Amino acid sequence: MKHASYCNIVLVFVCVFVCALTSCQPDEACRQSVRTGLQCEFQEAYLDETSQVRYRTTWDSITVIGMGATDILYNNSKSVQSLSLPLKQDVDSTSFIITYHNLTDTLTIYHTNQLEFVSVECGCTYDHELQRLNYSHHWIDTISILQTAIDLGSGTNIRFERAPLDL
Amino acid sequence: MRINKFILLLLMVMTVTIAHAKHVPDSVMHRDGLYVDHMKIYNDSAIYQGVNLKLDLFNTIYYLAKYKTELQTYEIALNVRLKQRFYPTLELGYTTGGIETRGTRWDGQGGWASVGLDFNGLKKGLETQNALLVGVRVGTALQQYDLSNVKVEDYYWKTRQYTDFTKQFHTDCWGEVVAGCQVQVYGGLMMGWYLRLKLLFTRKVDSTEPYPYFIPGFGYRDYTQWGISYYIGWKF
Repeated sequence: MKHASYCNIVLVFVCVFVCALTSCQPDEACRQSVRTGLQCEFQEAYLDETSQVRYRTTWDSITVIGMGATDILYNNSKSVQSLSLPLKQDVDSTSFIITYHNLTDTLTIYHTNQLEFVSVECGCTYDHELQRLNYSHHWIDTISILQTAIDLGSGTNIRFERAPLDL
Repeated sequence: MRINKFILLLLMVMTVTIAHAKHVPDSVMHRDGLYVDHMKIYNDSAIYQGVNLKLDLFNTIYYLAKYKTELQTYEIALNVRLKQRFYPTLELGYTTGGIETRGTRWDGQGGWASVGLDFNGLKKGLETQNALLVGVRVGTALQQYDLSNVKVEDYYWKTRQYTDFTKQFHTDCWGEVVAGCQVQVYGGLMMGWYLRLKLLFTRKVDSTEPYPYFIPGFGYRDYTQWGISYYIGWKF
């Protein structure tokens, strides 16, 4: 009887330690990036061999740099399906120089900035609200605004639309 | 290193305490119970068999040793002995101070409470107040805090700034599995310790609220935390 009682106690302790070991989980991984960016996609109309209108959704070669920045975001990048343009946190407008097929346009994004806490490890980030756009027309025909909220989980914000003159 | 020595010393004290835990000699039990060594021994049939009021020494001393007076914590506990087997427990605590992690500082104060039930694994016997306990707790903490020096870094535009969040309030809840013992030292004087595994129920991952990374009564915000309590108390 006494032996059985001690066995029960040992069993309880073993259960506690097994629970302890199995419940250990890794610490929350810091998010890869706290940088929120304007998400852009591309749509270019063209005629195929049968004179049907088709749409190209990738930039075959594109270069993007922030105006005043030292780093090039996309440097003659090939087959780019989407762009992520980081917006400034301390001012309400951000400009980028975008070169496509040796034609250069300047895109200025007007936005609001909202401070958001991410974690102690990663600090804070800024979410933005897209207000309006201003851009030149060397290769860009129009830009459609799809979504104004710019945060870590948002989808595509704008779409560059291009239709060559022969269409 | 100094803290490790301190913990080692404390463990030795615990061991000596348990080794010296004395058994109250067998006595003839009257209907309403009797007093032995100034401590009331209850009738076998009684449901209520006394209450223990305890003060946690381990965390108070550990925090003082590790953080000096920057971070202080105090805890008392109350448990009731029922039918020699069950110990409903209430624990109350308070933490105040500030600590820094990865450049971000937490300054706050908060109280916590946990309730639970312990089960005595030792053989039944009114003559002994000693108990080998396993149990569970549910705890909650409310704190007011400031988070300061939180970085806001832009890796592309090469800007870095710091921001503060002041006068924030936050509530957390957790569960605990505990195992330990309590022993009678002399008369009503009791000592005991607990090993605790704490599981945080309110760990937020996607929150944009500047939630605190330190929780009074729980410790650093994580899925699990280990804890130790070493009590001195009195049985009424």
